[in-house]
Amino acid sequence: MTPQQYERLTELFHAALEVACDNRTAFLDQVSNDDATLGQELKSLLAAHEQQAPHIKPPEDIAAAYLAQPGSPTGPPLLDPNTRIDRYEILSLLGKGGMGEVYLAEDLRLHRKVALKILPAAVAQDQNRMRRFEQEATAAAALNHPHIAHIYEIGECESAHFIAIEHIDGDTLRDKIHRDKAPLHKLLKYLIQVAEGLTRTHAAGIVHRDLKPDNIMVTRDDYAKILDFGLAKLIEPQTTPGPGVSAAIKVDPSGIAQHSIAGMVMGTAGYMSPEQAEGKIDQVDHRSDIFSFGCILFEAITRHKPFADESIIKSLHKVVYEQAPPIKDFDPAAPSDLQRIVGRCLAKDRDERYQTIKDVAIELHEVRLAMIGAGKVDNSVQLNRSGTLGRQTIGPTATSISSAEYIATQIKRHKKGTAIAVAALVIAAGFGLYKFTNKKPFAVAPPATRLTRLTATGKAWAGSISPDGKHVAYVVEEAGEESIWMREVATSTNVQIVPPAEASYASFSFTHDGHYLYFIKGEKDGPGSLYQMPALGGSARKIVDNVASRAALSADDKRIAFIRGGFFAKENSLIVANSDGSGEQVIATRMTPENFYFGGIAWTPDGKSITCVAGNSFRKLIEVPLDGGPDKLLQTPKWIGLADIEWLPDARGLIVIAKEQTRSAPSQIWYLSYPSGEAHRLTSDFNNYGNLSLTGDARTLIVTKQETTSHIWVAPDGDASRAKQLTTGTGRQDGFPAVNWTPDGKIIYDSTANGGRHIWIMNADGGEQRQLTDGAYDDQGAHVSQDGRSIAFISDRTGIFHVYRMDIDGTNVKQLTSGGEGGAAPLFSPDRQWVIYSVGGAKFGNFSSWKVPVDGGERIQLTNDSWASAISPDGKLVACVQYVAARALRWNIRIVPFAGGPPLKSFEVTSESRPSLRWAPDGRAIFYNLTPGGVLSGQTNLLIQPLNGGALSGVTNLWMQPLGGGPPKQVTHFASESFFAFDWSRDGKRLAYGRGATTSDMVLVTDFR
Amino acid sequence: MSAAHSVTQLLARWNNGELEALDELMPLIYDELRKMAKRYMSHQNPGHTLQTTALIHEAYLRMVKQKEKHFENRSHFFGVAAQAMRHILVDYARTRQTAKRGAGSRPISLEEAALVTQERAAELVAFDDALKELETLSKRQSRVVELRYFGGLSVEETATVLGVSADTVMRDWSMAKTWLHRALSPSSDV
Repeated sequence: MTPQQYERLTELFHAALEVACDNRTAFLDQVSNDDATLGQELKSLLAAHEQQAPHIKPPEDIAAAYLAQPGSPTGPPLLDPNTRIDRYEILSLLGKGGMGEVYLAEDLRLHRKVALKILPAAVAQDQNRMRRFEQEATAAAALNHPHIAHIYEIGECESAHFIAIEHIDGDTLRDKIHRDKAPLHKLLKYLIQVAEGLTRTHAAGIVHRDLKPDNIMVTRDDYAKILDFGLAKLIEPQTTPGPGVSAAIKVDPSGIAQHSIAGMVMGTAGYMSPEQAEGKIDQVDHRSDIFSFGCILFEAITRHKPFADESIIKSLHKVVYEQAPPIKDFDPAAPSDLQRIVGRCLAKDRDERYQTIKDVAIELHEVRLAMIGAGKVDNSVQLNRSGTLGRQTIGPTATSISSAEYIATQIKRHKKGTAIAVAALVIAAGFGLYKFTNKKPFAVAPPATRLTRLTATGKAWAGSISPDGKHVAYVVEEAGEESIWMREVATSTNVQIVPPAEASYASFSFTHDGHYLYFIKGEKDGPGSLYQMPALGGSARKIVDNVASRAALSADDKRIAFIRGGFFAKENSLIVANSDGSGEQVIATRMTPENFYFGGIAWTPDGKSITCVAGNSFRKLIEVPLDGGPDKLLQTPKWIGLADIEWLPDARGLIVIAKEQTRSAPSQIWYLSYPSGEAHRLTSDFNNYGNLSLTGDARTLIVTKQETTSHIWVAPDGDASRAKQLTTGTGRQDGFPAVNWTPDGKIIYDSTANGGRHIWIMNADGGEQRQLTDGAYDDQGAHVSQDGRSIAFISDRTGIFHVYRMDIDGTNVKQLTSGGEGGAAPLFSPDRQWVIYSVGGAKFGNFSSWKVPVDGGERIQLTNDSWASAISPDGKLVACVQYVAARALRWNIRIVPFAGGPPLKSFEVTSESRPSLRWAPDGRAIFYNLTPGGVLSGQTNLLIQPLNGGALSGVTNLWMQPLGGGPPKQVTHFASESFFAFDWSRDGKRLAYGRGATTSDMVLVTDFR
Repeated sequence: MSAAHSVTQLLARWNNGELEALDELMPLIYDELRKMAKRYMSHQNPGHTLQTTALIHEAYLRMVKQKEKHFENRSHFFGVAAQAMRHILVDYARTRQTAKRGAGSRPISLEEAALVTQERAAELVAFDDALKELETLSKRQSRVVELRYFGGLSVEETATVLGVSADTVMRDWSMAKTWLHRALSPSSDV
């Protein structure tokens, strides 16, 4: 039928309907006479019309069914490619599971691919659960760890709850075990990495709860990454079923979790712990993960699940009541240590398992090293991607890069190239959050080390001592220009050998004959170059481009060893060349995260190997033989910073600059005994040391010492000219990081006057200085409640810094926060009902703030992107600081409602350190301190400051921003020194602040052996 | 440009005879309807009967700048939305039908099963096929069906969208329904 015929048919149809029934037959006949086909059509249409009085069922039922299916666990992909969810554009469906669909998506803002998990609506609907999940996922998101899939964002868009996760291109561990039949030493490598990742999350109080081979991805570069932290929280019941209610064990055999069913046990059969299998949710803790880890380890070794059975119920029964079969039944050749490790992981009783996953990691590492050493695998040398001969990393790949460290290094690279900055930066991330532990970690008693100050300008750094001990080369920075100086130790005379210039110098080394000096000169926007110059002056000659470390000279001064390639590059190399720069030879190449760390490099006393540092988080000391033999790992304590190394000539030990595993511990000088790995500190103070060098007889060494001193001052009306210093004494840090007025005009402040950092009180004239807290730990960050009754502060008495409160006289101490995150910078709400505090986060600038009831209890999040710094006098508004950019050190000051909600006001400031904030007593303005850039000496490298004020450098002044509008106003006009903390007296008439400076000088160290 | 703004503008352009505006409009509305469906899923009990008209009306309120609303705009929006709705529902029905044949089969949730049988899904697919056939014979009639059936538009609204009289819509609707019914009847006359 043609459209024309159809049109005609339509006309006839309507005409026929208008014709009375009696006449219709005649009408039809007439049509048929004209056109038989048309007549037939019309007839049949009319019949159809009559038959049904045409009715088409509306598609409402289909629509309803359609609505019932999207988002269901088994439903088809809900989102088409190109769909936008917030700032993500869907590219394709990656997979479906109990927790909804996972899409490959592009983050349109950051232009990176992410895995976007859309939570099923039914799950997202449960607000309690979502809140708990978000808490946990937020905590997990704060962990930046190479073996944890990074959670970028948890968000909601158009009622769709989504999680943006690092997109990992690779295979699951299940595939590696069963499909690829990866060799055991490889699987162990992955599992050691998994254990490292879990170590980190467990330390933060996060338990995975659903660890299984499907939740572990192995990237194409061979890194294991754990997925889905916190997701288990969404599904598990919130309480253990009460007595008389049997825990309904419901486990999804496919690994697709069911929706919330009371008493349901979350987890995947075959990997869950007995306590999970029995539904004893309140007993689930990090040791449950250790059990699951044991199941995976068993599977990796035997390629079988330890508790497999024909049904889930039977399998769960086995988990609870039966021992796993011996692994020898499957693999007679498996190292017996593995049986022991698996057995301890799989103990039914939590208390009989390993108590920390770290222990498992260490033991597995040893087993693996033994396997490799015994020749069971041959992977000591292999071709790396670039085709050059490189060394395969052995041992547990290291853990996280502190982002602060990263930024430090970036800035260092771009700006300064100073080695001490690297030594010092280690303070960075969580000032106030982590503690100094192990102040005396080893039994060896420290000898009577003597420190003699060599310079006193506070501006000298990067020193190196000549092998005969007669000269010290160092850098002085003034007014943004650097010069190189040579000091004759005996006569204390200083000679400038390179005039001031806009340049940066670092990493000095004398040749052993003392004739030449090698150093690195920073190049703009690029790696540094190695220069050589006559030690007593003359022209410097560039001999090698692109050098990332200092150049270590061989004993005969004929060869140099150095690192090329940034620590955060994909790979970097250890290079040996002739001392004139010719004949470069790549000795070894390492891949991230096992890169060479450029902080320390030295020839072994026998001249056959290079000792250097590698590893991202925990620094490893390795010895790389020049003849191509396998790397040797030197025993060391757990150090997160290892910046400078020097061998003692008898090869029985090294002097190193190292930093312990706690973030606020400064870099100190250590003696490391070889080969036992025993170590002891030569220094134990609040200063940072760096740029170590040793004389030929190893009796004297020189270091750069960074020292921060601050005192409490009070200025009437903020007028610096009338300011009065209230505390005195060298080497003290007063009012750093906090100073506070009580309502009756006393001052509460932090002070290191008596050794550790504690909270003190004194009168407004500096009289009656009295210590309020005491103990072998640090208390700091005091804030006084508006009624003057209580002090909120932080203390590391439990191992990390948590928030506490106490009465104004130092009694009735109560801990308010718990968990692995800790807390910092507490503030009372004016009504004293809440204590607000901030969390630094593992990522640089990754702040959040919270409030907790004054008597403890559930915390509530205030902000997820900023640091709460002050609360308005009426308690309605909180002023926060948000980190904007790394390079320029820009910050947003934001005013947010205490009750929650978006910021009401936000303005940007530039400061090298994180501004502290205070409300004007009348509530109409915000005061903040700014320390602009460009004035400061490079050695203190303010990297430290943004988070915490680990150093006081530059010139700080106070500013005021009226909240009613108008331009900001500078309040103080200091020309020197810096302050981090300040507070207005309650009447708004007196400004108290902790003002000081960080100095950098050369120090000679003797009698250390 | 905000979504509301662009939808309003696209509608205006389309209204002014720029046919390609429809190509841009369609995916926007399509996405919106799917999102809304998802939202319904999260807030309503499964089995809640949904008026397609209500859904489209809500999409309109969400997507079109309210200040500039006028009836023509709204009708045009509904015209596009009906087409989008048709795609969504028919696509869905096709997946349900596929399940019957075993290809790509998946478990059906109880809620779904209670609401739509595979037969019913097949019915909708057949209806869509018939409507496509009708389109080759009379574009206008197939549009009338689409607007009224999938978009839930009234006769008057349909007339506005198509720019014809209400009477014409009535007659088209009557003829098309009959034609479709016959096309879909197993006992259809030879």
